[in-house]
Amino acid sequence: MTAYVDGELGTAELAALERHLEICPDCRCRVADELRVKELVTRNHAPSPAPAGLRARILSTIARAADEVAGPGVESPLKPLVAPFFFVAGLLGWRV
Amino acid sequence: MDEKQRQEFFKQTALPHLNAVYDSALRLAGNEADAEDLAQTTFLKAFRFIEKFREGTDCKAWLLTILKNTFINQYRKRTRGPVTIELDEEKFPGVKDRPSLTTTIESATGESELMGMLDEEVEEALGSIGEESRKIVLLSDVDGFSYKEIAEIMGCPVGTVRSRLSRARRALRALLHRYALQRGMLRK
Repeated sequence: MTAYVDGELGTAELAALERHLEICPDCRCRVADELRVKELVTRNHAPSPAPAGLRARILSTIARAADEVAGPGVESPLKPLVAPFFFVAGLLGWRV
Repeated sequence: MDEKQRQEFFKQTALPHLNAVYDSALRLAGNEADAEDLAQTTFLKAFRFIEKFREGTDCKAWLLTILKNTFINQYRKRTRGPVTIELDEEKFPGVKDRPSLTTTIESATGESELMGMLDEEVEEALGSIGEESRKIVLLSDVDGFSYKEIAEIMGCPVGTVRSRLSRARRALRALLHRYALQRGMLRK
């Protein structure tokens, strides 16, 4: 019954059970009863609210992820200052 | 979609499910700190793959699938191994003396009085059937996971999920029936 209520029966099992339900009022009641308990839980369970600040943290994480994706398209303001250093370092044979 | 549109689409489509995802993450991880990490990772992955989400389909279900996979891949290994789920009928009053099903179902109106149960009564009943049973019921009925998915989450065989869920629902039904009797919603 539980698997039937949860839509977990295979085709053959489903057909067999439905044939049985046609002739068995007790089992029809059991199915209806289990469905109602399932519906009650689905409908009445109140989710634990997410902690304050989690939404903001997620937004900040995705903003950083978006920046990483943007990658080369985003110019660092330090680039013009740092680039000559690396150029000179390269000329001198430094390993960075 | 440019980057700004992606972020906006994510905010409109995925973020409204934050409470549902956190609630489920709390069930899976078992503590608030891990639940928060798990929820955050889930949303980050969802953002990275937001193009794969098809508009008009169930976004909450999509997020919960990401959550489940993240949990299985990263968290379950370090939080705990396979769980044992016990529903001891002696420990949960009302389970043994469960009502006759037909009494509950067949009322004069043809509607089950159980549908008039209050939110608090349902939560109380859920809190009385044991932590693991509560978890399995919520994974199925609130999160909408299949038996196979629940088996992966819980680290147990699919058949165990089915039998535990069946027992947990019987216990819930018994408790809800008792509350209904106490409130005079049902005749003895």
